[in-house]
Amino acid sequence: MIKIILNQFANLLLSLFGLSLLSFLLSLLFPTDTIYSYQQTNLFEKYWFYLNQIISLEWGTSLIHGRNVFNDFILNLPATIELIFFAFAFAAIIGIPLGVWSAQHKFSYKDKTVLFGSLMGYSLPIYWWASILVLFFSVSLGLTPVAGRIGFEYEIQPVTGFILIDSLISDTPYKIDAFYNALKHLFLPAVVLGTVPMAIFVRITRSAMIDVLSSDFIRAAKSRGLAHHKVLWHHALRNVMLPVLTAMSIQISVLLTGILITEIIFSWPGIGKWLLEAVHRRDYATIHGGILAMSSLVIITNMVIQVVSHYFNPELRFKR
Amino acid sequence: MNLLRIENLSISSRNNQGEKLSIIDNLSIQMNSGEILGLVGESGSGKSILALAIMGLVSQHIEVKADYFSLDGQDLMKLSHSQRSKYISSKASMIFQEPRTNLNPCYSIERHLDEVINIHQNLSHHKRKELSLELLLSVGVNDPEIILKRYPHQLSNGMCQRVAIAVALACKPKLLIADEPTTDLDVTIQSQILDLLIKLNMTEQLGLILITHDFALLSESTDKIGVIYSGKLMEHAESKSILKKPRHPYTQALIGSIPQLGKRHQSGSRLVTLDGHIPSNEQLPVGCRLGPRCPVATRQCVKPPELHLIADHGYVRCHRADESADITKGI
Repeated sequence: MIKIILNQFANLLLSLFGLSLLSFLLSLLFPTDTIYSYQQTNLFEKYWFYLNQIISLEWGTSLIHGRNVFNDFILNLPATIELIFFAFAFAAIIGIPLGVWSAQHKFSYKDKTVLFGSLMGYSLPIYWWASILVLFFSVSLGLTPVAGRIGFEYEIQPVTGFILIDSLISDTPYKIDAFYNALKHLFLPAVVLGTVPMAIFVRITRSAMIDVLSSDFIRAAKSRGLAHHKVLWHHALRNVMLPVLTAMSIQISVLLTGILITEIIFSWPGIGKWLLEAVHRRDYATIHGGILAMSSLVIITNMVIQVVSHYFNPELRFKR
Repeated sequence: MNLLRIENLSISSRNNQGEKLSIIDNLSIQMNSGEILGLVGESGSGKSILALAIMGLVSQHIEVKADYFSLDGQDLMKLSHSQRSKYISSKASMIFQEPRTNLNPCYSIERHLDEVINIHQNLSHHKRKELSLELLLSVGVNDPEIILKRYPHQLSNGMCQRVAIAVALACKPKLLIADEPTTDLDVTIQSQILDLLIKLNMTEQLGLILITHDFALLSESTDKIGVIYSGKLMEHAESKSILKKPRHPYTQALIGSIPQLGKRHQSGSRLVTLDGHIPSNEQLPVGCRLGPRCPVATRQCVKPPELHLIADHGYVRCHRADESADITKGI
């Protein structure tokens, strides 16, 4: 297992090196210098200086407000991670069991309803879906807030940056209320962001499950007297997780791009909003840093999922 | 005592138009404990679904009916669904055709064995492991400690089949159904697996149903043979008398199609084949199911034949069984 992780880590370094090369070439196109300057004369020197700066986390200063880009990124990151985590949890917790259920009733009207629903979810434009949900939950029912991370009446000192954790560890008398308030704020953005991945998880789980359930080893497991739920949730689901994990690693990159729209709609103070504002203001240093950070995030999460899928798939773990 | 007794088992499914399609038609079969029963027939004759029906694994869209169905003295039709599957799994187990598909690719061999032992016997973790090692040794695995840690994709086909047999034995069954257990293996491994099954039959008094399309596989080892064609039992008798003097034209054709090697081979002789294919269950022939393909069919064969009991032999479903017409001589 350690060997696998080291192997993946070497892969990761290689990908990040490629990424730095690409982002350097991109930064050459910017009308202003972001990290390197006129002191370096040839391209190689420029790149070497650039690489050193990137590694020592000196990503330049914003052209608009003069703050360090990397610090800005770290400041905005927890909100995004929180949102993505909950969107992903929503997609997986609803999507995978729904797919299993649908596969169990394959070709029946239940299955067809789920399939139709997932097709709808898959093809929904995010901004439209978000406004419908806001109209229903916030405007008509008044259950959830429309935008932001937490109500203005609560004042939470940022410690970790994750508002759910911060509200719980703060020593204010209203910390439980603040926690619920933050959870309410999180609900709509997470649902909106998680809808498309959920629809995809449903479809992939369903088709993989139908495949696995008709295989002989499932019959063999049943013939040995295993209870139905054990066959389904242990034997079958373990095999279904392999294609689902692949889908997950693709969906994470999709989520990281989808977050731009969602964060703008719900004025969620995360990376997406930060980056889009930088684009509007032609803040090249921030754009460059944001792109570099987002791509690194995609690469790193993909590597993590690779390691996890090694755990799920013995054929990857043990070569013949 | 009868280990397995089935009277008038019928299995049918429905096609898209809702018409009933018969897969197995009024099949009766019985075997005693410790016996080896061979079931022979070509592909599509319904052998495998018969095995699945015995195990209670037929999918819900398929209708299974029987007049009487008992396993190890217990009338299965008196049990509720969950009781039945529990009872069957404690008395019978099954191994499938492809060795690799018997085992879950995500689980180690140890987990397979441990899981089954845990269900059927209440033992501590340590005892379970001991028993797993014993089971692997009993199916001829020489280094059980190593194999226990392996995953199915790391084993050869023959080893997979041995492990599958060990997992099947972990239920302590009285009946083992082997659905074409050797088809995917090469010839030397085939005979090893077959020897293993027969050895288990002798030592553990394990009833064995061998399902195959290859008569050569059955020849000496089995006690009784049932020949199935198009969902009907065509001949059911002691294997000695079937091999010596098959009464049904279909059995004769099956035996005639075994290649003879060495001295028994007459140069220039051809293997016996029947023209045509097994009928699809949407278009069954009138009368005898073999009728259109039978080389000795006469006018009376348009009436469906019954199973006749023939003295010193067994049951034969043919109008001309008494006349002992021999198709191999006719060609």
